[in-house]
Amino acid sequence: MAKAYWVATYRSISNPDALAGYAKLAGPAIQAAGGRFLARGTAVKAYEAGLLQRVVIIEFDSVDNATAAHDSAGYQEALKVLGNGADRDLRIVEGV
Amino acid sequence: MAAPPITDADHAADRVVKTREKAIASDTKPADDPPVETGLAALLDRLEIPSAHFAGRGSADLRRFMSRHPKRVASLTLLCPVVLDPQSLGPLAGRLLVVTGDRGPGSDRVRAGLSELPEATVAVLEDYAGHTWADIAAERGDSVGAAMQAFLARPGLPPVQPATAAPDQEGEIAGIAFRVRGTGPPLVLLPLDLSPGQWEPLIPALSASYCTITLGGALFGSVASLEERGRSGYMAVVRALLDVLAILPGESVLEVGCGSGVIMRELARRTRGANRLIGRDMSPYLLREARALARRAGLLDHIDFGEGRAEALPLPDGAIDVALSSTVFEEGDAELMLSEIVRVTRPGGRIGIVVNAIDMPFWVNLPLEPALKAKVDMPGIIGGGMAPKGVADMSLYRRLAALGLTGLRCFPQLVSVLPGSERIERYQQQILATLSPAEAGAFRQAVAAAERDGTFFIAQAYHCAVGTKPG
Repeated sequence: MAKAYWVATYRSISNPDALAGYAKLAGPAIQAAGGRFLARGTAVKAYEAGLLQRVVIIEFDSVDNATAAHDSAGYQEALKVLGNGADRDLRIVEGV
Repeated sequence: MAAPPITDADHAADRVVKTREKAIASDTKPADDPPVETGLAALLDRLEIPSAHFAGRGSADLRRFMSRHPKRVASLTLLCPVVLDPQSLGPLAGRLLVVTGDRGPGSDRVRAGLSELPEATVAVLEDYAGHTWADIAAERGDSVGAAMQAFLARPGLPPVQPATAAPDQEGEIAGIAFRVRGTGPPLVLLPLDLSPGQWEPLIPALSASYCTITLGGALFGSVASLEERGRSGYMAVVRALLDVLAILPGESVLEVGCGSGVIMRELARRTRGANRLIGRDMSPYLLREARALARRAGLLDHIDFGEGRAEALPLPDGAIDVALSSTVFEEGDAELMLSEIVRVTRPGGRIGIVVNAIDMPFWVNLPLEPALKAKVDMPGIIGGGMAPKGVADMSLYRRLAALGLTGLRCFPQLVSVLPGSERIERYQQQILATLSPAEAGAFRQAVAAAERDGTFFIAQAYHCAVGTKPG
């Protein structure tokens, strides 16, 4: 089965405390749902749109697993904590 | 005229004989309790639960249940385990979640164990050690809850039928105390070691989606381990401490951190109502178990169990004649705890303290080749470590002297931990977690040979001291 990749790119972070609170819940929840953090941090180079902002890439065994992680009560709780604290874009893509 | 002190005997020779008698006469395991795996099966049958998710601190309590009833364990979550046993967890690895801290001796051993369980899921709590006495659900409940909810929602876990058991019921079946809350697929929550708050902070969130069944009783975890220690050579340390303290009839005795009440029961047997016995512990869970065990032994009338933190004892100055504590001052701020135990003792009263000696190697009685022996004997390989400000070394003696105690008697002691005990199994796993596969093979062979000739044991040291508060 093709692996799935969870790609989150941040455009801006307005509330770092909310983001920290989110990370405290989201990290263990994503790991427990089978996600493996491949990259997590601020981009070191940015081209085109040029946003030197936070990026997170997580690998899952399948799209189903990634979707289940996102929809789990644990991750939804983390999203509530984040609220409007960051403007970001989250996509799940199948590996080739 | 002063009453004679309550000691086993005034003559050393008599004392040996009497102590032996007492060792046999004192705590024995209640014969009517089935082994924990039988009790668990009976409990699930009674609640009409074919299979359930399980969660606990370590897997030792579940080991035989998992091998006898593999299909009844849909998944297993371990919270900050002290060590992992890859052998018994192997068949379950695809359905195993390990939530672990990122530092401390436990997380190092867990990392070693996980290398042999590649299918297991791991969630890391950042900047956390998760000591055996940590209140994990209170300190990191949000992260743990999020991890458990996400793990249990994972596709691929075996389906679990929603429980039909009535929520909000409590009871006891086959020596296991249980409490059911919430509806949904059953989630069996085993005791979390010495954690004072146990699972409680997580129950509201978990029981919103699951039928949580919290378990208790003397068959599990820390209580089982403390009670087993209370039937072992450790009691020689306790008796030596009590002998040196020479408690007189009528004197009040305080135990700080009484746990499941092993020492309080021993004292109640010795003093037979002639003394006021006060046991204080910070853990409501352990106090509940302590009361149940004392009631069972017919000794509860003689013991006053209650809540109290060693760092802020809820007792007035000078209220106590004799104060003691065993293997507690490792777990918090030792300076505070020592000044508190001195404060509540009356001038002229005695204070006795026992702590694990982590500055002395464990004696692992195996003829290993020198390099392996040196590795196995390294201090810190076995044991739960200590809090940053705790005391578990020779500084105990100096600290007591610095507090002005007079007539200080210092007597470190060695206790043999024998095959057949939960403790020696745990110690062996802790040793194995630090060895390479080749070393582990040599170690296992040496254990098997020593077990055949009856010479296998691991001895551990305790620092013990008694002094008098100046009058």
